[in-house]
Amino acid sequence: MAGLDTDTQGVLLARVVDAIIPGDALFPSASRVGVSEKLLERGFRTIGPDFAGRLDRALGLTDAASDEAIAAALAAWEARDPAGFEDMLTIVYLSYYEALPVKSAIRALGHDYHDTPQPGGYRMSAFDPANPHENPQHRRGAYVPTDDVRPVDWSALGDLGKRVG
Amino acid sequence: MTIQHAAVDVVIVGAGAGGGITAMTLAERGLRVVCLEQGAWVIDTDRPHASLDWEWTRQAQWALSPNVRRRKSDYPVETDDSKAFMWNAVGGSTNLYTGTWPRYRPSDFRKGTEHGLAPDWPISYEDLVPFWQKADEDYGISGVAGDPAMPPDQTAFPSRPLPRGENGRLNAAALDKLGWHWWPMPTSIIADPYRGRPGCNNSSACFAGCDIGAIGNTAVTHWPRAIAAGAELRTNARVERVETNDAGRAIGASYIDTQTGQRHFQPASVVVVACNGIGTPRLLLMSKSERFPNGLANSSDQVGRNLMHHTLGFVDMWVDAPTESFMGAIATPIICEEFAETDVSRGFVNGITLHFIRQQGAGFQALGAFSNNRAPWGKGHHEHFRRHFGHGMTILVYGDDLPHPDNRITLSETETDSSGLPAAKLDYKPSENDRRLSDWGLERAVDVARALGAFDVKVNNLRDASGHYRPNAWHLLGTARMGKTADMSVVNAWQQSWDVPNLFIIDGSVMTTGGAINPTSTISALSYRAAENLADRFAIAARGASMLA
Repeated sequence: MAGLDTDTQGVLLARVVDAIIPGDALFPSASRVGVSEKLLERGFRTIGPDFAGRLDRALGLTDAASDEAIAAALAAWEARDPAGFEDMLTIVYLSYYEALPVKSAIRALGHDYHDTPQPGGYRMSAFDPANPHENPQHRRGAYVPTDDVRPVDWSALGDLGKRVG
Repeated sequence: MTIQHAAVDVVIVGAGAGGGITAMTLAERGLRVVCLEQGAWVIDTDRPHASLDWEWTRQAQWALSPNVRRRKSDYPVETDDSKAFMWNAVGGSTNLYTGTWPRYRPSDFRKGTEHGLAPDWPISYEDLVPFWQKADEDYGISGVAGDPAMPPDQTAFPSRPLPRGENGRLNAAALDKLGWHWWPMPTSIIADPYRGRPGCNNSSACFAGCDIGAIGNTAVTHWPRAIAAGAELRTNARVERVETNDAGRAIGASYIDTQTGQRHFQPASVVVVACNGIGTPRLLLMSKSERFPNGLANSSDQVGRNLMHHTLGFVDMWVDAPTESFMGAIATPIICEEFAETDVSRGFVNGITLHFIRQQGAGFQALGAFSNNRAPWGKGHHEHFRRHFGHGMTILVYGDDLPHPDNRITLSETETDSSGLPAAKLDYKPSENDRRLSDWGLERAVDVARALGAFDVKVNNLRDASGHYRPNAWHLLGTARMGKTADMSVVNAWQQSWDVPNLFIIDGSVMTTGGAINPTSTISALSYRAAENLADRFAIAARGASMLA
């Protein structure tokens, strides 16, 4: 597998991203919303020009790999190189959740989630001075005035200033 | 060949919070001011929030760390110890901060008296009160007056609070149940139109700044006034040295036009350095000379030392009730200052505050918000997402870290910026006190999660598998600190260099201690105070005499 050089390789990469985020009755799978292409492009730009090759080597899959083999290869990569795997996963997740069909699916769950936060922003109820969980009615809280600051005895607490890393 | 410019009264290096306030104050008082900024203006429509890929762009080209986004206007920070965040442009890091605006408390200025593990400031809380008020008016601060956890000086806010949202209401109820303090978080984000700026539209994406100008960014709040008053702002102007004469006085700044590579020299009677807690010591160290072999203003060997970031940690929690976690300005719900003062029975000195914040977009939430509690890859992905999305809240635990001389900025020997100037090198390790404070604060945040009946709670103490603490270093403080004596500080109470009296430092690097809250309100108050004093007594500064005399 070397990215999308051939149709076969593209199909395998699509199966890899679908193993990461499969579809269900509401949500599309990752490959259906173009995550494969974005993974390669963003990996190239942020991880390095050899990203497709790294992906290839990290997974070690053949075009004929079974679904089980793909899942096992991903799990092995995650265990062997958590940081590298996390970098790849970050691209996959952010690429997936920016897709319009995915945002539609989120709205179908009942959330007023917008395609973009701007320019429209979100409608929220204005600050309510009559609500005691918005406008505090308690009188809790204290401070030490400047002239009341006094030495504290921390001699029993050990070497508090030691750098510990 | 270097281009020589006409002399001015004051040259300012850096156009962020300190530089913007100083330029505005001095220009409005009639002084001739030039400001040199290595970045450019940020065009609000360039911000990512109106694009479908806004979450990705924010983590790439708009990353908080210069080491990730690697723009030409940035300089690298060589470090394995923290993720140092800053932005180099007109407005500086106010281009992409959360606008969180609490004030320091009186005891923050008296840690030398209180426990001696940090020095007292040479000024007091009371000295800054009128300048906090000026900052509140010019930035446009929203909030509720009357917080019993603070002195009664903040009697009114220019803006009513932003919407509290479910996050604010749920957490307020939990803190009531625990009997702990809470208060609406003051922020530099306006709820209603103010001085030509529109009110916040709750877009949730403040970490990459504000497309509409609702957040108080000095590019919006101060620079238009500074320029109208005659201040000249030169962008893409990367200062490489503050120059001095044989008498040891500053004579101006040498800089490189990053667009052309052309070198310039801007002479001035007074030099103000306002480059943040990393950039300021970097420039002072780069300005070493035969007369100042350890760097400018560094006879005390304090330049670059005592770096403070605050201790940081996150507790993410998910509850059955909807939390609107993807809408609303990120850091605006509430603050808890129940534990902000020292109580040695806890096993440490200094205090912590709890900040209740939101969790942003779907991609970020699927990746586990602030605690890496990500939706698993594979078959369980959507089930996890359905359960967690829109039900999360985060508590950010801020602690007051101790200044330590070995937590410091030096010059990198291996990395350079795009002009070939040495990068900054950052070394930072928490102290035993910092670690105890942070762990204790995270436990209190978990108490809140329990009071809320959260079905999932994850703690991120920002330590890796080996225990190495790598904080998100939003705050860069203390590396050119103010003090009462020249042997243990870099500047005096007027932010005037002890060694070079016509050199002033006006940014967060002068802060003697860090407090347990966000510093921009206090950096701004300090900047007004220093700039007004400089304007009032400019003749003293220009002739290189001490402001203390």
